[in-house]
Amino acid sequence: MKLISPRGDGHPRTSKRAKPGRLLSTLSKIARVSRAVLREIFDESAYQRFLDRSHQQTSPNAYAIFQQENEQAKSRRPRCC
Amino acid sequence: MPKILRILFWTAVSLLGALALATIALHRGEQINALWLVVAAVSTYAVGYRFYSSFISAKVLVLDPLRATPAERLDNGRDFMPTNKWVVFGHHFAAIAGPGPLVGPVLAAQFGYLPGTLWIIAGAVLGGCVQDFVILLFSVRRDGKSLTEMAKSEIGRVGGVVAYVAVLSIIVILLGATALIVVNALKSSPWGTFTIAMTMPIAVLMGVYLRRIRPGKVLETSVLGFVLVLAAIFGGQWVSETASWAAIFTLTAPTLAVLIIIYGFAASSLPVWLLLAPRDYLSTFVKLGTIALLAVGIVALRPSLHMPPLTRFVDGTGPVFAGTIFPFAFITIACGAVSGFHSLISSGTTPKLIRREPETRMVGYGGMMAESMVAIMAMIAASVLQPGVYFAVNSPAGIVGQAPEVAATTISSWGFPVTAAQMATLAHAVGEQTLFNRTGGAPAFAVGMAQIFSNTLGGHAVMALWYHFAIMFEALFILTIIDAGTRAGRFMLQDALGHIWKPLGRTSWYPSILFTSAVIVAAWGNFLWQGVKDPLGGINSLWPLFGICNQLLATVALCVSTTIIVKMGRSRYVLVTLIPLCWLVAVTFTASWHKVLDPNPRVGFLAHARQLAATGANPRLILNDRLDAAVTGALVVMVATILIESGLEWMRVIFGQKAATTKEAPFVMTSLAMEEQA
Repeated sequence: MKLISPRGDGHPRTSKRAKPGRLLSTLSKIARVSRAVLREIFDESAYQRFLDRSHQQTSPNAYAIFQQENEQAKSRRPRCC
Repeated sequence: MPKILRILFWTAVSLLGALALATIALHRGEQINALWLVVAAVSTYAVGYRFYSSFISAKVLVLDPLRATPAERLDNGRDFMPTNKWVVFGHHFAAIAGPGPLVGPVLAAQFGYLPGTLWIIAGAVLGGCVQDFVILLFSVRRDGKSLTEMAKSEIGRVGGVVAYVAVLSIIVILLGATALIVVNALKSSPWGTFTIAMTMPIAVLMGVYLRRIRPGKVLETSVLGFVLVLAAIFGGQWVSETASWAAIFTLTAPTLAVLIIIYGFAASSLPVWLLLAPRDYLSTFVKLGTIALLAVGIVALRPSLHMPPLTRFVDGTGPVFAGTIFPFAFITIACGAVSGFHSLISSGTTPKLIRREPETRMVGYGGMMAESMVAIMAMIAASVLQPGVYFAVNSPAGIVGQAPEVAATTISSWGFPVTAAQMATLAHAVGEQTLFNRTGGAPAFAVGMAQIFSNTLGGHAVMALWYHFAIMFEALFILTIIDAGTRAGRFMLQDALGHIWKPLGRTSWYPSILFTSAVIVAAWGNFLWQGVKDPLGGINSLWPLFGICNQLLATVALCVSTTIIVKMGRSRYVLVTLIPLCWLVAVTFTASWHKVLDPNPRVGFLAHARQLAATGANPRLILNDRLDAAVTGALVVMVATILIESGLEWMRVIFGQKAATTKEAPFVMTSLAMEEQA
């Protein structure tokens, strides 16, 4: 079976060659999403957003301010049973 | 996929699910493989998600992909933030999954694996997932409002007050009950006590590392903390084998209770970054890893279930907790089937992250399905144990006797053979002095998990390490709930007291912090102390009380949902939330009636108080029973009030006496859809 390359260069390629590429791209997507999930759960993304918003570089002082800002919201949240 | 293939696929999934359910329901006399439970659950969840949640999305809630969510409209890069649906799913699951789905099924396994398994699967698909999904969507349509705010605005002021009191009560009882589980797991266990004690300096070290050395690198810090915790588990083995150190860490239940109460007070008053936040990260890290490991372990190893589908204790005479299947199996398993607590998460952080309305289905309905799967795994962990071992671990000394030989004889006389020598060998294998009377569910779960893993991963030689890993995992979970819950309860109390005297409402004023922390700790500490002193092991009264509270909160959440559905003009679909609501009302009100008024002293608080009074027991124990009865009665009266108020509101709308208007935020067209199309 012939497939058209997704790069849009018009070159036909076989399904045998397409499969490893698709698999790799799926795996890399899963890895990307998993990393994003972990970064969100562990507040790394929130810290990055804080740095972007306040135009700061990471530093103990910046992290202390971030934690102070987050303290009210985070510590008001009960953990579920 | 072509339509015909789709039809064939879903027919095959449905048939497979039906076959698995029939196998676990009808198999008698022979052991069945745990994989049948997994297949039954996964197939039912898949069909429920594909068809039932799709029906709710399209017909009941009418999810609108063009409507901008608060995450988009109010995006501030902090609380409100449009986030990838998988990221929100992971975040939501990490927030709802706690020790409840692990403990409840282990306790309910005293009825056999069948009642609990069927309730977990059916309760989740028709009740728990629906509750989480609809509350999440309704909160999204109301700018991320909390359950109590929605109750106030949609039902009335009384609804808001009842929801507030129910939330505070459930937090207090949850903390008392879960703290008791830790005490029962760690009493006379130098290995476990040392490991858990070490998690505190490890958390402080993590806090300092995160703040001073590698700011913001939470994942890296959590991995470091995890490695240190593993080292503490190995260190615990050395401690337990060294007489002088073992003596220091061998603590009685009352001593452990006092230490946990002091810990709760300190954690509520200390800065968040020093203890609470790093513990929270560490606990989440261990939780996600262990749940994944357990899932892989069960599927890869496919253990056989030794517990029968039904035991003789369906008649209500069970040693783990007293009471018949209805209503007590449905109270004991709350998290994993229907948990009111989830409505707080679904109307808390999660709605502020949802990017598009249709994603609430995957996050709300799908997130609860994942938690329900955790409950199925806990049921499997309990059911792989020999029933005699299960009852020896979970039965209180007040029922089976203190001496190992006496306890073994009593349990064997029930038809579940076990010997004192067999229990001694097992205790030695897991590095404990004894496994008799380790009530609370955590030790039984840990033994089951250790048994599953030690069959292949490391063999019998490392069973003690697996056992203590599981104990550490549960205790870490629970201590995180205790410190976060005490602090959350303290904030709620400060909010309320601020209306009486303003300074008490200031969350940074230290006298107020100390006073309100002390009130919350005293409240749950009282329940913990009561459990420690209870000759029936405490879990017998505290876990059902917690279950009743949790399900009553679910009743409030489903009342709010039903009211909104009626006001949306979609009364013809009201059964979607009304059926689980009616079921929970039947379960919680019947259970409350039994717990307060049942003439059997093992079930009814007042009957137990009368029995204690007749034998001249400690007046404190009598007071505890009366307090439990009063708390249960007060909660039922409050929930009955909210039910009546909601019912009247439905009637007014249905009979046209009141306009069917809800308090949704105005429609704003999303720009995300256009961006995606572009």
